[in-house]
Amino acid sequence: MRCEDILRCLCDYIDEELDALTESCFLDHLEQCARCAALLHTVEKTIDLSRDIWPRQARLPKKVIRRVYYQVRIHYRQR
Amino acid sequence: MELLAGTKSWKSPDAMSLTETELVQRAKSGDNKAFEQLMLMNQGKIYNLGLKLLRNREDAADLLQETFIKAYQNLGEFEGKSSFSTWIYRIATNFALMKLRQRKTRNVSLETMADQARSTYNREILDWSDNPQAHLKNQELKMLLEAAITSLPPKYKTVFILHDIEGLPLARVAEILSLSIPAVKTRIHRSRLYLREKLSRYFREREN
Repeated sequence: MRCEDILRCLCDYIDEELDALTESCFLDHLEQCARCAALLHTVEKTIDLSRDIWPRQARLPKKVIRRVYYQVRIHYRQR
Repeated sequence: MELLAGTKSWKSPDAMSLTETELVQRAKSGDNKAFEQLMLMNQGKIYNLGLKLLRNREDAADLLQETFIKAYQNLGEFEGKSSFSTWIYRIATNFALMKLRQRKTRNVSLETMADQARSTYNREILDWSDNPQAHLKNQELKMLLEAAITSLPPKYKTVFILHDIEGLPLARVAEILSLSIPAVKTRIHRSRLYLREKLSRYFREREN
């Protein structure tokens, strides 16, 4: 594998979409190429940081629930 | 009138023991309690998706309301080819995309996204993943990343949030957005490289 192949396979590797043989070639290249290893580590870190920006599950405020159900129920009589 | 008086009917014990498919069948034949059970099962996920896509509580509440009203009105057209939750995610993301397009914010162009992905190796590849400043307690970095995600073109942002933030599998994202899996992968790839480059620039500037 060459560096451009690593770039092409990068997301498939992260998403665990590579077949076993391609994954093995991917990892072999990474062991020898600090540049590609740095690319992978920083893309993975970018995803981790992006994921951590939001709380896992923000609480849905009760007043929003009341408003939404009230508005939906108005449509019950119209269907 | 009884339905409008309160919200206690959501947790109908009868409706709670039914599967999603059974609830949809009941809702289609006019059982509003079954529809409310479907709302209850999806409301947290849809509201949180709205918060992430629109970054505003009021807009997330509007998204939740409009999604359920549209789902209720179009329930007869739901054929069950996908799950109800996939269908409702599709309604919600379409609403979010419309809202995002209405906003006057300047997004990165699609050409920039493609060029940046192609030219990744033309720039210095610095490994900042272990840098002590690479965490969200670093307010400067957090704000930079938030702004970068906000500036993604709406159709890239939607894919990135559904897959990388919400953790939905590629095939489900494709189904929700009516895209092919390769199209989803391209958008994910370019979004990740674009955001990575934004953060890399921050660390490069700090090194120099």
